[in-house]
Amino acid sequence: MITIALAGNPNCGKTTIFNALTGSNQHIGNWPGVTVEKKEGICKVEGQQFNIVDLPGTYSLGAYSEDEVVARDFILKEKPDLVINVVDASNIERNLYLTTQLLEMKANVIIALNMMDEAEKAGIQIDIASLSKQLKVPVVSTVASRNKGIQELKMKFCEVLSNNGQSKPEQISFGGEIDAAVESLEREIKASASVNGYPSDWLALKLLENDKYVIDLLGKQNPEILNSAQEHIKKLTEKMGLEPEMTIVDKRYEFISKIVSKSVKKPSKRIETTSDKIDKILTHKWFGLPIFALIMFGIYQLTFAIGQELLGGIVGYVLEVLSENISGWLESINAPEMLISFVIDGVFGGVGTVLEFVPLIMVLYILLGILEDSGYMARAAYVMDRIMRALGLHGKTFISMLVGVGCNVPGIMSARTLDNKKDRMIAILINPFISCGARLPIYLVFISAFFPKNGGTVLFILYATGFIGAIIAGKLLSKTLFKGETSYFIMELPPYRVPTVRGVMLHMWDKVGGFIKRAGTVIFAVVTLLWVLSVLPFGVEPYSQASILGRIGSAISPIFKPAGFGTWQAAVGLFTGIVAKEAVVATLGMVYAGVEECAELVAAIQQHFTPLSAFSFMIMSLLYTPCAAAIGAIKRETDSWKWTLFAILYTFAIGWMGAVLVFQVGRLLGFN
Amino acid sequence: MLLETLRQIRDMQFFSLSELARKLNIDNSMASHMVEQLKAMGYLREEKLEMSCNLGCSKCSCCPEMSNLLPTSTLIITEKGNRALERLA
Repeated sequence: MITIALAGNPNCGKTTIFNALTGSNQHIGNWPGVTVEKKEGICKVEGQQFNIVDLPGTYSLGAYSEDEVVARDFILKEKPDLVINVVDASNIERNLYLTTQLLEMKANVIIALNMMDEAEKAGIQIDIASLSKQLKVPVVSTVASRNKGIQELKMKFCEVLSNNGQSKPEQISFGGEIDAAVESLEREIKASASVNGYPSDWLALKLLENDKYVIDLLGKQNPEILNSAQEHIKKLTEKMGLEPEMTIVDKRYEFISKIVSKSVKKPSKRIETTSDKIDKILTHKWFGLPIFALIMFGIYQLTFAIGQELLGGIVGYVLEVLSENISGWLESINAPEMLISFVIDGVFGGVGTVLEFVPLIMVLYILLGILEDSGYMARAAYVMDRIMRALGLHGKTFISMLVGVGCNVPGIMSARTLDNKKDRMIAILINPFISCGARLPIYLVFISAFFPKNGGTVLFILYATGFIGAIIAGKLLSKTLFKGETSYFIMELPPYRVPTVRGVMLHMWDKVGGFIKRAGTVIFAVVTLLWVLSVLPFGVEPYSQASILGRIGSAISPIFKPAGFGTWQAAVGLFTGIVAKEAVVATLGMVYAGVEECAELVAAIQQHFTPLSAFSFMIMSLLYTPCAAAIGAIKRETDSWKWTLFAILYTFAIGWMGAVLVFQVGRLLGFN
Repeated sequence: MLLETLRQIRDMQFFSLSELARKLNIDNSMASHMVEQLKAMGYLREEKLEMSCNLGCSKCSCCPEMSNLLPTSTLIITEKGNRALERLA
């Protein structure tokens, strides 16, 4: 039976044509030795039967995928009587690449120029007669989805086959030097190797193209041929200044370009996509950065307005009711005083205070999730990339900084994607300055206490300070400890899309779920330890300066005096923040006399801080030593205790200097 | 043409398929084909920004396994690509 193969790019309508030709006479199996699906069917035309084989959809016939090897092996080894090359007319240039390779294989080809309706819609006019003349193969226009042109296609292949028609397609010349090398290699192949049914000239060409499959095949039989091919490649590269594989592919593109210029008319004006139009504004050279800053400013305003003012009290209220009920129940069963103190002051005062910020964190990450899911964050990275490059930093550093907004641990880990060590070390060492979600409760307690009317603005200033601080630190590190060339990379911007509820919620839950989990594990453990330290030695007043906790705080607190918060409570809070940043608020909640709800913590803080010292404390919390998990990530990623210790100390020094600077300059300017 | 594509990519501030197509005066699908061809031949490499610390989430509650945090991938001109560009220069 006559065999006809259908070859074409993915989504060119090949399967629709296969179905139109074979109807229900199909069976599906697998190509031998691989998991690629093989579809065959019978096509009847005027009493004659044709076996139609649907080859896997491929963009080319190299050895880059199993599909490509299956398709080309079938054409070269099974030698079908005819190959119908289905070409998507609306993407004709790309589709003709496969055609050029079919022509190289000297297959008996006819072209089904499919999706002509789509091409017309896009304003593409194709001169079919000219295309056929250029390629020297028959071309039939089809719209397979509407069964148009299928009958003509059947007639055409019957005609070609009944004429014993072997079409004589146009052959591409790869240039005298390559053609000569192909001939030379072809002679060697013919003389010394079994070609297993492959045309020897095609094998020779593939050797020059570094085709792995052909190299393996011929190398097993005669390694000398590979040496000879390498010699040819070396000589051709020296002569032409280009590796022959690139020249060969280029010649195919040139051939396509020549055909298209003679047979295809495209609309003169390129259609600008919506994505292009939006990008013109959002990634504009001058407006891109202010727009990004404005969007982030809006996000923090909204976060504060919705998360704190609308939803802020919900968890607090629930915890308050719960704490009262549990306290009442413990008293009713005559539970020991210590247990009541631990549950109410420790658990509710510590863990509870942290949990009150869950709604706000949820709102922030929902809003950031919308930005990420829409494709905007990639644009933000692009906008910042330009600035980073101007400062001699790698663009990917900013991506790791953006990731750090969620949590510094993945932010530090994302530095792995940087190619050279210099860029990687800088990205790792500056990431702790990026304010992670765990630091949010600290800001919110202090904002509620001193800046309730400008919450969003203060939040924005803190995050912006973190980014600016990280960039400055990166610049300093690149000029001092990590000098060298910055490697090059290009970002691919995804198209804009409408954010999905699922995507945004998953993104939010990634962060909030981790936050809640930490409140129940790490923070609970810290709170338990702090409670023990706060009631020991026995007999002291709990949470007093005489307790072990108070003594530790008192020993550290003088360091922070120049920054305006030299109290033992603040010192202990910052100290526990090195275990986990959420622990700062939990600790403050406990040490300010076992505060049971956030409102009371806020009142306590108003008594111990001033607006200026509160701001200075927030700056310290933003910039100082990262948490234990982030320190662990730095150790893992740098694989060096030296750099880990450096990160711990230099961030502390910068945090301290920042806080002192804010407090002292603020005082000089007359702020309180 | 392929080398010109590589050169255009090198000179772009950020990679945009439609921008590349415009510069080469070809359609987007052809530009995409050329980029894929350059990747297949080892002149370009694509990197997706994916993260997984491989430590298991139980050890690190602040970092649930996250992937595709940003819908961003990067194209990198490989050493082979750079060599080809140097020869062009």
